[in-house]
Amino acid sequence: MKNKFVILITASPQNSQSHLTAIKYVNALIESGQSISCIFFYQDAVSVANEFNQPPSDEPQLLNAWSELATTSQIELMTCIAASFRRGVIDREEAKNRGLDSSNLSKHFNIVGLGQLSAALSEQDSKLVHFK
Amino acid sequence: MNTSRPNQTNQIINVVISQTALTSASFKESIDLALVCAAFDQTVNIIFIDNGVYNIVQNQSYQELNDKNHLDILKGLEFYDIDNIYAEIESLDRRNITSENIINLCQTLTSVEIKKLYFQANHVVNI
Repeated sequence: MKNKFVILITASPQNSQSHLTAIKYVNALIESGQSISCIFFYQDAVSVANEFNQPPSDEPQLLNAWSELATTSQIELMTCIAASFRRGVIDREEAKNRGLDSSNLSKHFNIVGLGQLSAALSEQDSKLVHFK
Repeated sequence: MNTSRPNQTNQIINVVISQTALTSASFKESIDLALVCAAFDQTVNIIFIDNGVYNIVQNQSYQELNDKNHLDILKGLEFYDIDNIYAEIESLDRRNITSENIINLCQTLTSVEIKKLYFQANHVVNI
């Protein structure tokens, strides 16, 4: 039976190399023809979707790396709505609702509810791989 | 957003809490995940290990901190049909917390029994 991989990333992009490992892992899954049902960013990992983060140019550009992966693979990158708002990662609609001057969510990410992760986990052949 | 998917089945999900509520947002976000999974008709076990067992000590006061009392959050879990709340005996012992000092809704299990829960579960999440 073929697994449907659920990729959960909770590590901070600033304090951990887990995002680099996760990107390598997802690319390896794609290359070997595996099925990925969900890439979900939770806890401090949501910060990677903040396009105001500007790491030094000689360091890994995680947002670019994830964006490229999303574009080439057509897999949706989901960030948890509550975790994102708690950490100041705001999409255009929410910025407008709250009267904020600007938003910072990268266009390659979608803000969704935790229910999306739960639904992916509830699939029969789902296999959770967690990067923390 | 449509969250219904084909092949959705009842899965057993263990949410493991190993940090205190005051250390990070991990406690709150673990409970959020447990609540959503329960709302999706999944069987949820909440398991406190390591420093996570400090969360279930009775009579903790947050008034001085002006923070939300996390014990109230735990007491509300039964309304979401989450009745399986466990604490590891070895983690309690190492911190000199007796079973009389923990909240009633939590059952104590040995690490071997908790490992069995891990094997029985479809997913184990320790965030």
